[in-house]
Amino acid sequence: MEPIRVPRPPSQAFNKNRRISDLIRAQTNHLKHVEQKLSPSLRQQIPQHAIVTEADAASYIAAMTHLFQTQGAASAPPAAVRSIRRQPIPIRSEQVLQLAASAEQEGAPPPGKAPAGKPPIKPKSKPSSKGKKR
Amino acid sequence: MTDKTLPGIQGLQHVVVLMMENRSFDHMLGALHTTNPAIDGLIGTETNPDSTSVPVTVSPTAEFQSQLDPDPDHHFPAVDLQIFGGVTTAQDPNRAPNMQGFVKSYFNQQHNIAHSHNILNYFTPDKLPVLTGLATEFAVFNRWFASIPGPTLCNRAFAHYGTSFGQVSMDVFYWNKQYKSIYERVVAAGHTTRLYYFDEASSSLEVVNLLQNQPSLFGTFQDFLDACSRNQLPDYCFIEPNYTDHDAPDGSGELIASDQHPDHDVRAGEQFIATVYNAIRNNPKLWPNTAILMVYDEHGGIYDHVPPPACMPDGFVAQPSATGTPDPFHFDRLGVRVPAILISPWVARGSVINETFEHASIPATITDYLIGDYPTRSPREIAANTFLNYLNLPAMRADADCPTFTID
Repeated sequence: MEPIRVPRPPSQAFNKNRRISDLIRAQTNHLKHVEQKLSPSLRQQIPQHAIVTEADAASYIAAMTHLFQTQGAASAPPAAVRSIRRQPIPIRSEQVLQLAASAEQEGAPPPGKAPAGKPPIKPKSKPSSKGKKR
Repeated sequence: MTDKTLPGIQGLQHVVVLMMENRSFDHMLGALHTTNPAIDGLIGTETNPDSTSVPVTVSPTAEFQSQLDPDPDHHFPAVDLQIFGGVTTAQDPNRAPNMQGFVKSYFNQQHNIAHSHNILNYFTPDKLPVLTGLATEFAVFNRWFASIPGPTLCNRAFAHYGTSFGQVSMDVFYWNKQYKSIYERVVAAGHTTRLYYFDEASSSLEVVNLLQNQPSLFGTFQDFLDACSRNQLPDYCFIEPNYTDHDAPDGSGELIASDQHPDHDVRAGEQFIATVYNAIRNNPKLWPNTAILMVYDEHGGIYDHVPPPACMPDGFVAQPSATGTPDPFHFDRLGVRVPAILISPWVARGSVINETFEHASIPATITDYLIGDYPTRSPREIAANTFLNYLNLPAMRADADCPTFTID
């Protein structure tokens, strides 16, 4: 059977300034809800820019996800994932993630809105992996 | 119940689920009815009335991008209109789904009659070589429906938990609820599992609680590719595409969204699906013992002609304040049909599956296959059909008999 060719999208298909969809807005709202439960020192690591475009959302989501990945594991029971090991990333000892399990309990306040009016700030930590590039 | 006497099941070691975003069955695969009448796609004469009551016919003119902007509404009230054509229970307590409200629903967003007709457009197979290639070379589901006639997050919840815990919207937080996620169940049973999000900037949808509290369950798409190349794929994994256009954090390039959510370019999703497939297909140590399910979370407001059926109630009730309609919802009807394909060398070419499935079938299948008896599940999940029995060939297909993709 001959290989099937899969064409790539044109370069103009990429638009990081596209306004976020309801889906991405919900994703960032969920993360904002959790962020509000973090300690002030941890929140200082999270960019506080207005989330209007996909690039805005991506930089915020990256910072929150990186925080979970680097610090949440210390507070969580180990999962039985034996096949893959991530490279350890040094963290400061005082940066202990405060679990926000209460955020998921019934009766918790609704997700907060993104603060507006501040310029985008890049996450301090470099995400550990990348995917397929164009 | 999975038949563990089947040769394809006896050797099975990994199940991979890839869930894409917001496209209906007819929009992506409806044209395949022409070449295979067993596939319940489009005849080409299906219509929907527009806002002036003029019937509009489906059209094979779907484009990769820019045609469905703004994003078609797929929240609960809009989907109710799409499915029931605007007939309310006050008008007809016994109303039946007629799939006649898609154009009206899209018109409501811009009040542009011509633009509202785009919601009936569908792709020709030549535009989607990956999706249509997999659908025709392996098994396509004629009756895989979204779990809820509503948006993304509550539907994805069914893939993770077998329920949305009564939610019909995007406001979902699940933690310490009565039903465990499939990942927690699999881990507790001593098996391996992972959710692979694309990268940290795209991250995971719906399972923020798991991401925060059990981050070791998660990995990136690069981790998935590495796991494939090292023959270290978990027993069960769930893959999420890239949800946003963004720059690579290391400055090495642009990362285009691959989820196919309107208005993202569908070709990027085609490449992503092919990358997942190739990672397994091209590894002779994985291909014989891995099953891939690729499925879409919901229809995204785009036309499909098959009325969603009634289903097992979920034990929850969403009140009118949550549904945005005059009526409560008892989780007793499925959402709109979505594309779903089962891929394995143990699946017969050109299979068409006519049983009814929904996203609760995913945890139902994994639980049945990896764990066995597990009663603490939602009524919907317990009632859901499982899909691994379609790996039913007596012998594995020859390598040359299964397609490969060359990605530009």
